Amino acid sequence: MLLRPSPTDLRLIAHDLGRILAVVAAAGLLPLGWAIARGEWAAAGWFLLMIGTAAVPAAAAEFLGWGSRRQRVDWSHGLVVVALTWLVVPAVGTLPLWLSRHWGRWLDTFFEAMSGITTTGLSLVQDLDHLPESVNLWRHTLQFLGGQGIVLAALTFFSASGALSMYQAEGREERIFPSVISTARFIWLVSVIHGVVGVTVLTVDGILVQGFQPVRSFFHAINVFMAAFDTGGFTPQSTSIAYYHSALYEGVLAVLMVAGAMSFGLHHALWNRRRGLLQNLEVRTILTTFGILLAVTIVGLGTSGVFTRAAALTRRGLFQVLSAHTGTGFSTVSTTELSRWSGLAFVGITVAMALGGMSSSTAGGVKSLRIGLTVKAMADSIREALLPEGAVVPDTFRQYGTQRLTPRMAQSVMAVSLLYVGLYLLGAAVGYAYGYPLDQALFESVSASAAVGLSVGVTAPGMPVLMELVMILQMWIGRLEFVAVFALFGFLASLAVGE
Amino acid sequence: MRTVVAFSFLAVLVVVPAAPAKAQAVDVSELDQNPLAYDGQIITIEGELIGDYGERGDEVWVQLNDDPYTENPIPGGGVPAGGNQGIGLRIPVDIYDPDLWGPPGSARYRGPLVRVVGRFRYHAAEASGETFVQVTDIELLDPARPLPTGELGTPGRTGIALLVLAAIIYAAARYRARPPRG
Repeated sequence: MLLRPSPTDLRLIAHDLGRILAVVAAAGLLPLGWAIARGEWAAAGWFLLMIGTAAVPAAAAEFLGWGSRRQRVDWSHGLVVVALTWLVVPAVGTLPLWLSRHWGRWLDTFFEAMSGITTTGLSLVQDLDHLPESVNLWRHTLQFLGGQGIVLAALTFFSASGALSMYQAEGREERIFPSVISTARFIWLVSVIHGVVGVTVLTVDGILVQGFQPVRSFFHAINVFMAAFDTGGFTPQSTSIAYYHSALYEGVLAVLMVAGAMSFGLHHALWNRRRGLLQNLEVRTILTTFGILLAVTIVGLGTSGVFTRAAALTRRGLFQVLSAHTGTGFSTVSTTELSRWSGLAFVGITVAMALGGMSSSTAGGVKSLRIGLTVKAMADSIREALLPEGAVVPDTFRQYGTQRLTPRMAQSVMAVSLLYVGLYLLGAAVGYAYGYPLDQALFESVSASAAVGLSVGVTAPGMPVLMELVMILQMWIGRLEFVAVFALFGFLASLAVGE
Repeated sequence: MRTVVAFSFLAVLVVVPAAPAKAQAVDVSELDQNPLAYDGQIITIEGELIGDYGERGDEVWVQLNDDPYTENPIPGGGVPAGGNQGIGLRIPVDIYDPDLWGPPGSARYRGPLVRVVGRFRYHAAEASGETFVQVTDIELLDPARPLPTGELGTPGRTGIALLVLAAIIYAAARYRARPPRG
């Protein structure tokens, strides 16, 4: 029997959503300031409207006192708040995009905002190269908010109730400190330090090496930093990272992409100079899969005859595999060229996207820990079958200490991995049904579900509405790793038919 | 007579190989679709210089766009007509003239429209695999022109009104939540 949520439940959820809208309003000050500084007055008006639209319900939720600490907060509230957050924020965030007239229909702006906040990076923008800088900055800010976890931001500033469930519902499993709030603050500290260093290095590189004007160099730096560290994949110009024609710039971005795809637990361990990190199952898994997929892709590209020198081939192949495996979605080749990568190169990039980065990072996909645990569980089963009866197979693994792989954990890991495979296949089937070649439909589906953003041209203005809706769904579900979305569906069902 | 023929023959031998190869007029889409067919060829391409002039020593890198927005960008009243199409140009500094051309294209400017002659290089081995046009000649067709940046307008005024409303509601919430006196 489903229990119908009480008015108190609804008020609690509305209150937390109000606080998250306050974070959106605060984040909107960044592009507003940029618009004013650069004289983009129309864009400044669009941001004022968005900030006001977010601020009124946020203030109203405070006035009505819906978040009184006396009221009960449970696990499901947190999950529902997170699932709704990732629908409400893109909806509000579309306002400046829609008013700029650079998207063909409103659904395209919602797609863009969802792609931003889920750090996917697929884009339906038109004439990006003439888009106001402030609107461009807002696209990248959405990626930063989403990558950091917008709910995490609310936790940091408001110490919200139901913190643990909201934290985990955003696809983070580990707590670095006993308190979720302290963990959230550590994550922000890591991000700010990377931000200061990353933006400074990119700006200096832009001025001294690329020959850009200082303001433009800073503009490029702050945008690509947010997209790289949060494994987002949007870029300020239409030709993605190929725009910069610079191996050095790509190198700096590669470091930021790797940092973004690392779990914050690993960041913490590295900061504390903890030893034995290479023994961790997740680290070993991602290094292994990256090595294999890089080799596969480079062999594929090498046999294609496109590249005549190993250095050029390695540069392109390495960057693309890194971009795919970290879930970033930056590209140094055109969409048309990427669609021509066939055979082993296609397999390498697609599998790298599907596997994704580390757990509790900004990357999407199945994630390395699940891959490692799945392989271990299967290997243990095979070993048990081959060994004499009564032989004991150790069921432990290293992940910041020794842990046991329980049957329940193995089932859970495999279930989520299978759900991802199902999500990949769903999008591929829809694309194929619309007449796209199966390989391209699969590539784009994996890219959306695993929050990567590489495209072979299927994602384009004017794509079928149903397919666009399915991709929005894939980005949303894939980023939240299923649980919060299932909780929202359960909540809606109990609202409709509960007693 | 024999001398004239001999000189004519010699002239042909000298002049013909030295004459520049005829540049093929192409667009970015064609280069993107068939890069190997044009690799190393002299091409002519027209479009808008966009983004940034990257001044790197004795050459300048800039992107040339060849898409529906080169004449009429969206901020200038154009309508959405798909994505951008661009390719990198590598321009020797001695034919680079930003004062004459004006700023590259952005939300504030429709960039200069130019006709470029140069050699197309696809994943050039000597340039770490970059794809670009090594420009040998550039002709300005139309200098950059400013685009309207608009005004705050109705969205801005509505936004300010909403912010004032939010501030009043929030102040009322704080007032109501203050601890009772005594």
